[in-house]
Amino acid sequence: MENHYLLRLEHAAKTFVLHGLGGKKIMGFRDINFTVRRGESVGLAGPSGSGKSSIIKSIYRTYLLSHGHIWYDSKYYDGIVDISKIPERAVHLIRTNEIGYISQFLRVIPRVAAVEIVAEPLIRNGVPEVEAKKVSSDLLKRLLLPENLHDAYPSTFSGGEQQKINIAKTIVWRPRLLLLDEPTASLDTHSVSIVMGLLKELKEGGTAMVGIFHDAQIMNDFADTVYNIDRGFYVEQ
Amino acid sequence: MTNNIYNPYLIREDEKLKGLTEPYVSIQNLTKIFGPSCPMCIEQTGPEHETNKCCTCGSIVALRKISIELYPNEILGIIGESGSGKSTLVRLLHFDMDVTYGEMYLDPLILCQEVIDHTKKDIFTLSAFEKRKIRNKLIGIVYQNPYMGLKMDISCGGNIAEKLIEYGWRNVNAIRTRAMELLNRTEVPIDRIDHSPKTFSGGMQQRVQIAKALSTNPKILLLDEVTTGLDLSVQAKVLDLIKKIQEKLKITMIVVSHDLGVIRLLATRTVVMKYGTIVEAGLTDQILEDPQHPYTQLLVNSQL
Amino acid sequence: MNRKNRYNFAFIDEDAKREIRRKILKAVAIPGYQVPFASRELPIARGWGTGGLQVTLALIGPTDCLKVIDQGCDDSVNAVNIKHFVQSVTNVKITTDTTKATLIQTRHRIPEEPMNENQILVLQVPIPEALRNVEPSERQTRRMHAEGDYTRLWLYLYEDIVKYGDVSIGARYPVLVNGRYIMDPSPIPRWDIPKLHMAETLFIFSAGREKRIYAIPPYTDVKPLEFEDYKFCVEDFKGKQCARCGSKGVFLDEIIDDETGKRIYVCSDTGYCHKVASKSKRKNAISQNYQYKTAGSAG
Repeated sequence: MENHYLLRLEHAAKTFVLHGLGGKKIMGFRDINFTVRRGESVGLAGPSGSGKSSIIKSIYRTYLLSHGHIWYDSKYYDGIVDISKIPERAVHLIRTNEIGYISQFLRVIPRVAAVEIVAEPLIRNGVPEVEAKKVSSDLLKRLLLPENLHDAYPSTFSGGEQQKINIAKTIVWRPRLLLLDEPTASLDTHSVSIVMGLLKELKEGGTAMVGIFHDAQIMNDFADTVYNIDRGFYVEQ
Repeated sequence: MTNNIYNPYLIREDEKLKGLTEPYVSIQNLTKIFGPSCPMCIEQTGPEHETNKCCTCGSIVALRKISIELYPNEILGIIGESGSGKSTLVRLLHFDMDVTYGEMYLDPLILCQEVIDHTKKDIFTLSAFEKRKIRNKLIGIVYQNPYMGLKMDISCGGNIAEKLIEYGWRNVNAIRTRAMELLNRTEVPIDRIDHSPKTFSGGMQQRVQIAKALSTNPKILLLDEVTTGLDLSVQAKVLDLIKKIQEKLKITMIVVSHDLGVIRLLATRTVVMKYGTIVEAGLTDQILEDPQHPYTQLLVNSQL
Repeated sequence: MNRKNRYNFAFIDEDAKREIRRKILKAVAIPGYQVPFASRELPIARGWGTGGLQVTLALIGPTDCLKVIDQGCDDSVNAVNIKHFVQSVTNVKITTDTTKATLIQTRHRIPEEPMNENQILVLQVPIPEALRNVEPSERQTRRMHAEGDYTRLWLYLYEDIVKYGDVSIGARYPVLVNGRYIMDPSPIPRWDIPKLHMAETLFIFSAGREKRIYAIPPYTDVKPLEFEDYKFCVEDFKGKQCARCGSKGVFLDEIIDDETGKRIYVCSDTGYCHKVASKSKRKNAISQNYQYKTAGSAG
């Protein structure tokens, strides 16, 4: 069992076809191979535009893979499945129960209180509302979000505060696989260290992670393995 | 784990079953042609011909062989420009008009005896009476134009009562209690229950429509451009309400909109329509961030 | 040859009678269903009882005994004219006694005295469609009847209750016939509605202007529409009695005495009132004047 991977990319490649520009093809990445085990964290490094985010988004099925496979060992769906091929319905199931994704942007329904946004995935999974809100509120406190903001609408927040909501609403339900696309970009150093602490706790709980961090220091702190991506190609490290 | 900040329940075991159920609604080859219709109609229309008017007989092909499956507890978004057949689709599903041809099957689980005995039978072939029964028990609709969904010469409570009466309620006090409960949920002031919706603001009319649609605890809710024409603050409230209702009542929804923002916030899966045809279907974020079809790309790139 | 004898017995020709009789049979076979018929021209204007008159003429035979009432009154212009006309073309016996009549044509009332299986009551109907108030389109109302889609009418009652605290319909109270069709019982008062339920008599409703015949056969279930918590109820005449005959428990007309300005009540059914009054010899209970004032107006 120890050898079993949670996530495995096999010759994964993504090409964008822009029909508006006469079918122009833009390469996102190609021939990407790596494996992530439970409790392992993998970092993707490389200059902007090298295709790191595209890889993360492909794993999350926001992008459709052009070639290759993304094997994922699903607990609630059908065992080992190719995320790029299974029905959308199954992807949705896996997304709500297994794979979490933290981007750089917060997208939520306007005029919903911060604590409700964070509590939402818990309530959806059957946690009583009062308890879910308490858990969420505790987590936001740990992320140093001032308590008077818990009941405010995130659209009025600063970039860093919004990002804290974004992080909290995903890690609160402890996904099995966590995808991180520069989650700490807009945070101050103190907050970053808190976030890293939380991620470490998740990791100890068995969560596997794939992350992108521009800051080399944070990346070293975070990743067990770092893969360098350059212009869509995979550079061995 | 050092403290209790994480979900102490994790994911329950019965959640496993959630994703793999049969579709609630399965629609196959749904076609709607306005006009005389001829054998060439389907071939001569669609996105590849850039028209939905048949050049042989002049019929308008509003829907061209649409096949969609709806799963329990999901929100399906439908986007497309005006005239793409979005509203026609919703209205056919509400039996507001007859289909030209096509089939619709409902999951036997929701078609229990209390509604109707026919399981695995094409719903479109049922009698008008049976269709009305299904519609009344299982389907709620909210129109873009409140004047279509509400009777303006009848009180707000009466509009909700209409559905309950059709469902067989014959107790005025029970009907009023239920109506108040629904108005409460949709945040319409209860003291206005006996006022005509004519005197309500657009957002309130929309919320009365939602209350009416929810009155008989439907399994499927059809939302046709519900936020179009509302100002932003009201729009946000309506969206929030819809999302909350979906979470609390676990209703399957179809959300029709030409506003990509609305679709992004509400829908888990999205279908893109053009000239009565589905040109692309997929997860909402995939449709919006990695559109495959030229039309979808154009649509997404035209976003403000 | 006498000028009157130039007409067929009962004025209308036999073919037309046959059509009307067939339509009546169909109406009897489907209680509460409105059967369209070809309404003929008659020597009275449409809207003055031509529907009822055609049914009467189609059914009447030489041995019949006819009673015609207009809002309970035997002597109003409309009733008298129709009586004269039918008698002149058939020469049948005319009566004001409900129990003696075999055929009764009536406008907006059902006689107080119970009727039996050998009698037929023909009701004149101004608006045969019970759903007309809520749906102007004939096509739609037909669909609604076919599908049993009566929500709109119920909603109308609901709105009434919400607005006025109770159903405000006085006459033309909609009824559900035989558990299937909702029917307009013609503008009879609520008082008469329970008489339709499981009655021994055949009721035939006919609208000449609207060209519809419908019927309630004997022993048919007839239920007024009512909510569980707002029951149907008839007019309340508690503590009131007829000023002429002293009857209680009958439908009373309220009239104001021109001279004294007092409010008094008299029987709406004059035939019944006369009978009771002459039997009990209490004719002197009230001055002669009121006998004329009880006459319902025609029209």
